Formats: sequence, C-alpha cells, structure tokens
Amino acid sequence: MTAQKTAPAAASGPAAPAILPPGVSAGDFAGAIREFITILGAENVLTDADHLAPYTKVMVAESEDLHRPAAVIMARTVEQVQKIMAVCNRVRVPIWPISTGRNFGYGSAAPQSAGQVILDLRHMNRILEVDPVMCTALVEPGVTYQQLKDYLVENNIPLWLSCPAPSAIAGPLGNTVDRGVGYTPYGEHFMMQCGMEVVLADGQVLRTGMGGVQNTNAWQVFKWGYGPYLDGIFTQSNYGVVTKMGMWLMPQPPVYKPFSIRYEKDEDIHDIVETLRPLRIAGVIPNAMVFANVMWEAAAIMPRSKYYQGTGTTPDHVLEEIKAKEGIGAWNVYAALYGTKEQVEVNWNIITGAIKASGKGRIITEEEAGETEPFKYRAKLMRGDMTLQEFGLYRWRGGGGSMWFAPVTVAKGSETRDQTELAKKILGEFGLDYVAEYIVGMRDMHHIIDVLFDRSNPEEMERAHACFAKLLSEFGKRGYAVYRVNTAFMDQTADLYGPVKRHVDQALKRALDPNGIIAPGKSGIRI
Amino acid sequence: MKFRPIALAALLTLGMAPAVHASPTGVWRGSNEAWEKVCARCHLSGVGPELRGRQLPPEYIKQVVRHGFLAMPAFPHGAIDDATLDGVALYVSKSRLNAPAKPAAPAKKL
Repeated sequence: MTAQKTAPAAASGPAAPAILPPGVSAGDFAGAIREFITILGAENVLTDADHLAPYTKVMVAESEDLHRPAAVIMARTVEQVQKIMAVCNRVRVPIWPISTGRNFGYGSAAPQSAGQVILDLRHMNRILEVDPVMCTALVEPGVTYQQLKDYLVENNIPLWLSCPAPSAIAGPLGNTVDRGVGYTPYGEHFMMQCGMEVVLADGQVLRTGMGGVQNTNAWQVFKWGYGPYLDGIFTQSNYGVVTKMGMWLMPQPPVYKPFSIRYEKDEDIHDIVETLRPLRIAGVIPNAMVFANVMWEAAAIMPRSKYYQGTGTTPDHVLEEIKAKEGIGAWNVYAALYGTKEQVEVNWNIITGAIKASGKGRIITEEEAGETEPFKYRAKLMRGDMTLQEFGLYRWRGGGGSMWFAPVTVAKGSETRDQTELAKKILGEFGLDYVAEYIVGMRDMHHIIDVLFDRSNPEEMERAHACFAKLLSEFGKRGYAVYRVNTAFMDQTADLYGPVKRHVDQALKRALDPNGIIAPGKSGIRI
Repeated sequence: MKFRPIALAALLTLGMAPAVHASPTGVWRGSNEAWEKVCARCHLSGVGPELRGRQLPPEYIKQVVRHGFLAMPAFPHGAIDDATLDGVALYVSKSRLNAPAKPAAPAKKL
C-alpha cells in the first residue's frame, strides 16, 4: 500500500467534491463551499478524498457509498456555526454535526445519507468550567473524556467521570446527546446532563434550563428551568446543533470496591436479574452494573481463533471449553460499591447475603482478581477511567464489522430469558454470535448485543444486514425496541415507535428547521 | 471557587508523569502524548497488533491511521494533526521491541 502526503486543503484550494448534496447543483455547492471558506478559512473546509477518507470509515453493514459526505467543515466558535446555518438555509445544504465522531457501531462519523456536509466540532474543545464545589462541568462538543479526565487529575480535582467503553477517544457531549450510557452511579448520562447551548437552524442560540436567565449561576445545577423542558428534544434528534453541555460529576468516594459475580449456566440470567434488581432499585448497588455473557468476556481478551478456526456461529462446545480454560462464567456480573468504609461494609454484607441466599453465583473481589482481565478494565470503567480494552470485541471474528443491537429490557428475569433466547436464535440463523451484555439502568436494562461480522466479506456483510433487520422486526413483534441505533436502520427503528411519534418528530422538525438542513434522516426524522 | 483551564495551566505539577500532560485545549502536546493516550491503549495491550520493532514504513502507518483498516478506526485531521502523526509514525517505525506486549496475538483480520 502506498500513501500520499496529504496536502492541506489551503495549499491547493478545495478540490471538486466527488458527490453533491441531493438537489443542489454543482454551481450552487461550489458557491456554498466558497462561503464556508470565508467563514472558516480554507484549512477548515475539506473536499479532497484524502481528508474525507477518515470520515467515510464505517462499521455498519452497508456500503460506505451510502454514507459518503460531500465535504467536511470544521467550526471553532458558536458564531461560525450560526453563519454556517445561514449558508445552509440559503443553498439547502444539509449538515451532519459530529462532536468527536466516535460513534462506532452506530455509524461512526459518517452521515445517515450520502451528500451531507459533516460539521466537525472536534476543534470546539474547551473545558469551559469545572466547579469542584457543585461537582459540575461545562464542556464543548470536541472535549474528549481523556481530556476532561486529564484536566481533573492535573488540577487535583477529586471528581469522577462516567464514560462508555471504550472511552478515551470519545467525548461526553456526543455520547450524552446520543443518550449513551456508562458504568458508574452516573451511568445514565442524560440523567446527569444539566443545561445546553444549542444553535438552531435559524441561527438563534438557545440556552436550555436556567441558561436563558440573565446573570444566572444555576445553569449547571437545575435541569428543568421553567415551562416545557427542552433538552430532551435535542438528543437523538436533528433540531439544533449542541455547542455547550453542562454535566454533573461524581465526587470521588473514600472507598471504591469493584467486584464480580460468576454464574455458570446460560439460564442463570433469570436468577441474576431477580436477585440483583431489588438491590439496584434500593440503591444498595448504586452503579449501572453489567451482566456480560461468555463471548463478551472472551472477546475483550482474545480473538475467537484461539479456540475456534471455523466460520459461522461459535459452537456451544467451544464456549464450554473457553469457560473452563479461561475461567469465564456463562454470565459475569460487574458491580461496585462507593462510599465511606462503613457504608461500603454495610452494603457489602447485604449483597453477599443476597447472593448466598440465592444459592448460586460466585463472588470475586478485586483482591482475588488481581491484575487479570477483563476484571481490571471493568474496574476502570466503573470508576470512569480511560481504557480501550473493549475494542477487543472487534477482533473476536475480525473484519471490522459491528452494529449494536440494543433493545430495552424490563429488569425481570423472565424477560431477559426470553430476549436472550430470541437473540441467540436469530443470530444463529445467520451464522453470527450472541456477544451480549445487559447494562442495568434504574428500572430498565439495556440489552447490548454487538452484531460482529467480517465487513471485508461482502456475503457476510449482506448476511449481517439481513440479521439486524430481522432482529429489529422480530423483537418489535414482541414489544421490544432498541434505545438507539446505527445510521443504516434509523427508519425501521422509528417505525417501531409508531406513526404518532413519527408525526410529532416531523412536526417539531418542520417548526424548528423548515428547510431540513440539520442531519436529515437522524432517528428517521426529515421535513 | 471555579477552575478555569487556561488560568490554571501554570499550576501543572512539573515532573509528575514523564512527557505526558493534559491538554486543556484538546491539542496534543506532542507525538508521545498521542501515542500513549490513544495508540498504546490498544497496541500495547494486545487488543491491536504489536507495531514495535517491525520497521513499518512511516507512510504506511500514516495511511492506516487516516483511512482505518478493518477494526482499526480512522483518525481525521481534527483528531490528530499531520505534524503529530508524522512524529507517531516515525516513533513506531523506529521503535524496538524489548519486551513482548501483553497477551493475545491478534486474529488474522483485525
């Protein structure tokens, strides 16, 4: 493979774009590009193939041609974003805003449909404020978890983050507005979000919650403000460009006690849920704990080829061998306690008592686990530390294909058993693996399945696409729907939530963005 | 009291972690930092393939970083600028492998 030195766009002027936004003439688009250059400078307007390449790398089971951007523009200020909106409205150029562009398995950085202009906000990366007294932060879209973590550590501010796995290269704003989750007691990220600044399609700048009150100092401490609560409509949506976000951070506890519970049988998932749900709802286990299955655990630490060289679904006897030789359970619980020594001790006794009474499950403490993976990276996640260990999932079968199938589950044992059986059956029909974990919310669980496939094999990619479509429809028939989905399946998912929801989404879109310039197709929403 | 990043930059403790500091503005302070805080998290942990000691051509490394390769994500210029990437590519290309990386040889296709 040869590489060519990529010349900055500024040196040669913008290249003619390979594709155009739908319905926009080459002449009009060239005019828009010239205006973007006036606003942003030529070095922040990318149209050449080399500079666009990183934005076209997707993991979903569709051709990148369906998600190829017409250009990428990079803004640094709110004023620039406002001016961009004016150009887009005039020329009808659709833009796809990204924060850090690390939405792997959900579409990465690429737009929902080809021909949109990516508005990359990675350079808007100021940590505007961290208040160690109120335990809040205000950040721009390009701030990464790593950057925020470094800032807290270097300034000796004893606050913890909650991040998704893998965390280091993703950022809190993008993750939160896509309603991602983490693993600490603050793991439901949108619940811990407080105050937004949003550039609307007409160029107005909205501050949500208390943010509109002149001289307020409560923007990051009171979520609701007055009148209709608006933050929700700017998540998983395309009604505005979020340029600032407030969030709550967790005070570092005096004692942190991560632990694991190993269960030997697939069907134990029922009893796991029934045993642990009451402890989660009562707050005895405060964090978004996880129930990871054998393949998720194995994939985080090794490729499948270590035990199985075949193709198709990994046979059960291989999984049994992995369990025995690697010391992995059929289901592996990861949870943690946080607080003073006394608080942790009291809750620890309640948990160990409940496990003992249930008659199954082996508790593994941090001392017992030592430096072994996957315990070590799980312990990091549950205190919001940086790790990319879970990228290991992508090497399980290899080939760079991944789509998260993430149905919401009621935290009842019977429902987890039904969903697990159904998912395993459908994935098996398509020769794919059930690589799964449940992330436990306040009452729900996110049933997270990584639909992994070899994207370099067209036949397998096609199969993965068909499998995902069937997962959505079969789960949908039984009243189950995903909480978030990749760019290839946004319309099918929107349909599951019903025609009235789609109509209201569209009515809001027409009201706030009548020309449909912001991220058309996001969550199935268009004018 | 509220912390404001720029004003506090002067307070950074010197000599703490060798050659690695936070960047409140999100810009890499050097190739070392980018390597340690991004690349090394996979390529020194056995998640991604071992790169050290292979004399991989810098141009090849840069191509893979910019375009991605199977499971390897692509990194746009907003995430790592050309100068920093040049430094990372040179470092990896000239690196020696003294100690083997942690477990797990990668699968054929990553």
